[in-house]
Amino acid sequence: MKTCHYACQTAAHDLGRRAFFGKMARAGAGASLAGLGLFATPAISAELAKQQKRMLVVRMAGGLSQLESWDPKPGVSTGGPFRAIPTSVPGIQICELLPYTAKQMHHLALLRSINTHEDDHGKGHYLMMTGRRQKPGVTDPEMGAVIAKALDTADRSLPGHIVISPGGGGGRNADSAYLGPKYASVVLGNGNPPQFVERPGSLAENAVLCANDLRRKINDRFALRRRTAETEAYTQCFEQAQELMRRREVFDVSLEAEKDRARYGDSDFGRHCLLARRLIEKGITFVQVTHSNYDTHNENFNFHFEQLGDFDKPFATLIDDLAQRGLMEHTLVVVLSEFGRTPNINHLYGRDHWSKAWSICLGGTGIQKGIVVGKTNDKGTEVTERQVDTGDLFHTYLSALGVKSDGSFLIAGQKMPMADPANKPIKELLV
Amino acid sequence: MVREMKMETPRPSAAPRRSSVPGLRNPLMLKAGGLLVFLILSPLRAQELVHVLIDKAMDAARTGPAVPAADDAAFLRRAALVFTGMPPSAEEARTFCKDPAPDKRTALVTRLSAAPAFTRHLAVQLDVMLMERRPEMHTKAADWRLWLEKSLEANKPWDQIVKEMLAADGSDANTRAVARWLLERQSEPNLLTRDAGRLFLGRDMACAQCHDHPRIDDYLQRDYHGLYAFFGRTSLFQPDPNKPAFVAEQAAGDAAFTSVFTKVSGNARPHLPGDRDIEEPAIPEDQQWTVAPNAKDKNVRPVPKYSRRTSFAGSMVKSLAFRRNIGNRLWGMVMGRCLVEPPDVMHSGNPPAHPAVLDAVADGIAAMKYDMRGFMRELALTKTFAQAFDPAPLPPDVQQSLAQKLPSLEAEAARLKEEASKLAVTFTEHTEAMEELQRSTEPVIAEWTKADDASAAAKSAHAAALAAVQKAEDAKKPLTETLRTLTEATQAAEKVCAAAPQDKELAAALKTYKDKTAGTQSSIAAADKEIAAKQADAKTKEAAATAAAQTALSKKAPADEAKQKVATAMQNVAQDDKAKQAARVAANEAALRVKESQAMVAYVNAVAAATPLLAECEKQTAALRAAEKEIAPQEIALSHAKHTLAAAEQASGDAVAQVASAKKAAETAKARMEALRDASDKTVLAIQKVPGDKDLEGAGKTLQTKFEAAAKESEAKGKSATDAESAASKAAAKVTELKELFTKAEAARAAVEPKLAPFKAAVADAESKASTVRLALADARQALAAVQTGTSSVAGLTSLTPEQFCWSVLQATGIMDQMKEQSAKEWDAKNKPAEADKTDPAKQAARAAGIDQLTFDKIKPHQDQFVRLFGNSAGQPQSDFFATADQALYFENAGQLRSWTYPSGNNLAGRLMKLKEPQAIAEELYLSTLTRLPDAEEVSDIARFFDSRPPDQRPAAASDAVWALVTSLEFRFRH
Repeated sequence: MKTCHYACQTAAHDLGRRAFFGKMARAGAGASLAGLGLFATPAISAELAKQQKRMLVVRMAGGLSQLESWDPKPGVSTGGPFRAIPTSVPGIQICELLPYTAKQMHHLALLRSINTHEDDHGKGHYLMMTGRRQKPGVTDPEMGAVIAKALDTADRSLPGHIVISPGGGGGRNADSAYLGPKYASVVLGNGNPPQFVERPGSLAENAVLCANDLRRKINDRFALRRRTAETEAYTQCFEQAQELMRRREVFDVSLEAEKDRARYGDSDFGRHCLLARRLIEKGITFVQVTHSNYDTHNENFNFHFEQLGDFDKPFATLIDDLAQRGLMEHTLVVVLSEFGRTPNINHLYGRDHWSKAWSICLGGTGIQKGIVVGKTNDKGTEVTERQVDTGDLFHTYLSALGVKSDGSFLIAGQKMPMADPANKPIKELLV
Repeated sequence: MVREMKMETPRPSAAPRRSSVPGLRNPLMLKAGGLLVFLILSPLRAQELVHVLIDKAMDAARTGPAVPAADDAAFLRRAALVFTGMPPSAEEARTFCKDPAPDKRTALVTRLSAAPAFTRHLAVQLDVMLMERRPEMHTKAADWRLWLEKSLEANKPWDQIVKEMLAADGSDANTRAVARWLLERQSEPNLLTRDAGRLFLGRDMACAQCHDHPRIDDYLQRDYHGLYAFFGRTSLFQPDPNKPAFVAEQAAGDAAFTSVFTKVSGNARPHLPGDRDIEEPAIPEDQQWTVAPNAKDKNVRPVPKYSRRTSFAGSMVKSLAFRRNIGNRLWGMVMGRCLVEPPDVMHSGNPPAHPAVLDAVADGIAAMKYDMRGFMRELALTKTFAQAFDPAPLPPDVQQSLAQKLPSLEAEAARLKEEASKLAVTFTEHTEAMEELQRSTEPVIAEWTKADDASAAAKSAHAAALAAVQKAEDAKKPLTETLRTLTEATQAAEKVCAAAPQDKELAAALKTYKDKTAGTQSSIAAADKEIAAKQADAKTKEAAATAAAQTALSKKAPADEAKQKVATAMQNVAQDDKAKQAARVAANEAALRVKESQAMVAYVNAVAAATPLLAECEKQTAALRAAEKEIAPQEIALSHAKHTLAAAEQASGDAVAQVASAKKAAETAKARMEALRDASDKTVLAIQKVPGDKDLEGAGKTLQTKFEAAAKESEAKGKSATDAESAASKAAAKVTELKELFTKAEAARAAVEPKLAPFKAAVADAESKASTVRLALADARQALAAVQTGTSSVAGLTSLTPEQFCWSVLQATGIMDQMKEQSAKEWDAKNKPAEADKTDPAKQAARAAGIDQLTFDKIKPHQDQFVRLFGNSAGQPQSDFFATADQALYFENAGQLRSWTYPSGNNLAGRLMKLKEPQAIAEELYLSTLTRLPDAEEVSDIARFFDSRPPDQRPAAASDAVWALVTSLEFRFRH
């Protein structure tokens, strides 16, 4: 950290701050200060960062067709025109629209027996992202917030929950419910860095540091009169902001090698996947990428041909990279939708909303490699083996990340279960 | 009133103190209290006395010595934040502090509480409390806020506001926004139940929806459903999704529930938590509707004659919980912390630190007929509002007396705890006994129910038999009539036949008459038989009914007795529950008293231990400061060198970037020029080969012209690039030069360092000796503050709401005033007031309101930004504090925010620029932002901050100083 030569170096100020930190450490808050990068050595941080569990979600907005992806049924009346192709795992076949992903199947697993009983976009999204059915008067936190909080360690200076949104926008999403804004997602609109992370050119860095020192000094003096958890949190958020600015290169995908950028391709989704790799590598706990849109009520096959063509290579490249860099061991990857699509092909060559028998793809930490769990019947109209619901998925994610899925958060003295207590992890998927 | 009294929690231990808060509670107590009390509390005077009553309750409840009153400036800041939502200007602060009037604080509170600014601020706070920043799905937030503002402007009481809000159905376009509370919750009964419980009764019973609350044993499932029963018939009515939604209500439907834990079921009729079912009018089924539902027309919105939802509002506003809730919440708005936190989790396990104070508050607002403005004024006149932020200085004799009293306090606390747990045991035992009684009496009651049912059945069988008799008799009547007519006709026919005996046709007719008569006679005989049979049956059934009634009667007495027993047991259990709750509350108060005393004793001890060592630290630090003054020239020179160098480095960086872009532009221009030259040359060749071609000649000319222009352009760009290069090298040279100066300054500074070294060592030595006691003292101080904040015996620390924070930043930086000036200009330009208008109070008021509106229109986008950053998400509790990095990033880097702190006109930084003396600068800065004068150390800090920057960076220094103050803790929190 650069220091301002003047105001920061008087003895009294130094001592005041030292006393302040000493006290904080005793109060158990020291750990959170260490998170500001003040004490942790880079070597230790790097090691910790590598071990830490992470989660990456690729959301196929609108409802990906399981028949054109993870559970193809070629040659039957509901199967559509595409073939099934072999994958890197003998015996597992997926749709021919995913040739690159097929080569990564030995890192992944498929779950082909989901029945979520919910064919509405909003409600389906809610239950897949929260692991619960929406109840009147209750809002549950989304998995990003749950995972970010469950895996939060005190030495965290970067946000734990990041959503790369396909469009623009920025700021903070309202997706953490009672877990509070600390775990709400920071939005990277179209992959741009978080709002206000760049210094305006008119500000001299040196002067800004001096101003911050004056602010700290005023705060230290006030803290002698009264110090509470709230005052600590407020002073700390400025330190976090400084740390975030120092590390803003984390969000800058243009710093990735030209060669890599070419491998991921010149598309928004390709750039977002590369950014996701970068964020995961830099230790962000939860990253979500969205690919849109799969709501193919008409021309299902043309649309899936195009969309999956856009999806396949960047996604496969991402999995390959994560595996090669040893990050799959620590990262849970899930490709999900709000639901699947009907086996029945409608008169517009479309497929409609379908939650009765559909699939997701997942892999990485805690998940067995190259397996298929669950089965649907010949025409894909019903689950015939190991039917699961959204709550089971949520338990499985938590368990794969090494979190006890029957655990609770203590919110205002009240125990809030992390996952729906009515469900259990899907053991067959777990290592 | 009598019924309400029964709902109150008896507090045996609080009884002696009750005399200090006599009876606004009810007229009976006034009489009991004697004439004197009656006179004092006559309705006319009651209003003035609320703050006195609260002070008395507080004084009686206090554990140690009272904290002294805050100074004028702190009081002014607090009052301004409470009523206007922002700190006062520096000028206001100076005027107020100088004012010698002894009653200036009362005058201030009176003035602020009557001002339009308070109307807006209170409307915002109520809006946020009631709507929790929900989006606009059905109604406009601005209309709703306007309704709140108008209501507050007219001093509409809280109970009235709540009643209107709950009665609204959104059908009247003019008052549609009033239904926002219901509509934006989708009129969903469970959500309405939860939020009505939270916001109007102070209890979040959501967890009691499916079973009794697992942790809070005051929150019962049957009470949840008693509350739910008021809302269960309400729903959102929107047959056409493209048209506005309304609130609809059914005329029937109760709240059936089953516990997922105990499987006990119930069917709740509407009642307030812990209270009896409300009385409801019995309306015949065919008269239930004002607008009946229409099975054929889904666009008809049903409106019942009797609305349970409206009846909820009516019952609720009379309840103790209702006045405690609003009293507690308004107390929170004024004092910064509610008496019960969080305000929606009030129960005997989370009681107020001082129950008598909450009573005084609840009684006070009820006595003032829910006049929020008047009540908040009263609260701001209490000693509690005025008390200082720092803990009371505790002289040794206080410490001694506290220490002496401690054992007896501890004994009392232990006794009350014991009593509470005994009562809890009693309650559990009696509850179990009651449940046992319920089980054991079940057969007797069931037997009676069965017999009663049988009796009713026999009775109705008898009635049916009687009806059958009647029916048979009724069937006989026309036969009798027919017979009479036939008999008459036969007689007449006989006469005619006698007169004409040969007429065959007449004879035939007579025969027909006779046959018919005979037939009818036999029908009548059959009917008589039928009647007799039915009568016999009726007699049997009568006997059976009498017997059944007798049986039922014989079973009734034991059943009634059993029922009575159960009812009595239930009542006793309810009593036990109240006693248990009261004992728990009292035990909590006693325990807090012990805790507070201990904290005070510990604090005094820590002060005693630390004082000499801290004095030594201060002495050494002062010596160091003096020594630092001697080396100030070197220090300042170094700092200037550093800042100047940094600026030059930045400029050099910019210049390098400029070179790159200039070079690129030059290259582009050159390439263009060359391409044109090439083309032009080739065209010349072509003309030579194809002489006289007009097209080619024309093209040649055009190309030549273009080439010449491009050549000029290229030359110019080339020059720009060269210029940029030379500027960059100049800038680089400047950097080199300044680096040298910096190195020199550093060396000069290093050379004088030895002068400081011994002082620094002495400070370090003193500090290391004091470090343990310093930390112990800080701990003791924070521990005491934490306890005393909970007992309202010291001013607490509260974060500003997003709106308050935004307004405060604008006010402190002087931007609010600039906006007001701008708005005044706009208003005058648009409305062109005549000279005479300036003396017309009504027109002046209209002008002020107009300007105010324009100002807040300007503020709106900034306020929205603050809400996005500092507000919780929609539908979540908005009082929870949180601090996230994006908030700090906004302060660090948002151009808008930085422009407010930068000198411009008469804004704060602009005013600082005009001042020369460090003392004056620091005073203006601190008064404008923190409403207090800086102490000597702070003045010296500010002086040094400005000194450290080279003169050409003074505007940036002023901006940074303002920035540091508005981003400080002392600004973010009210205290």
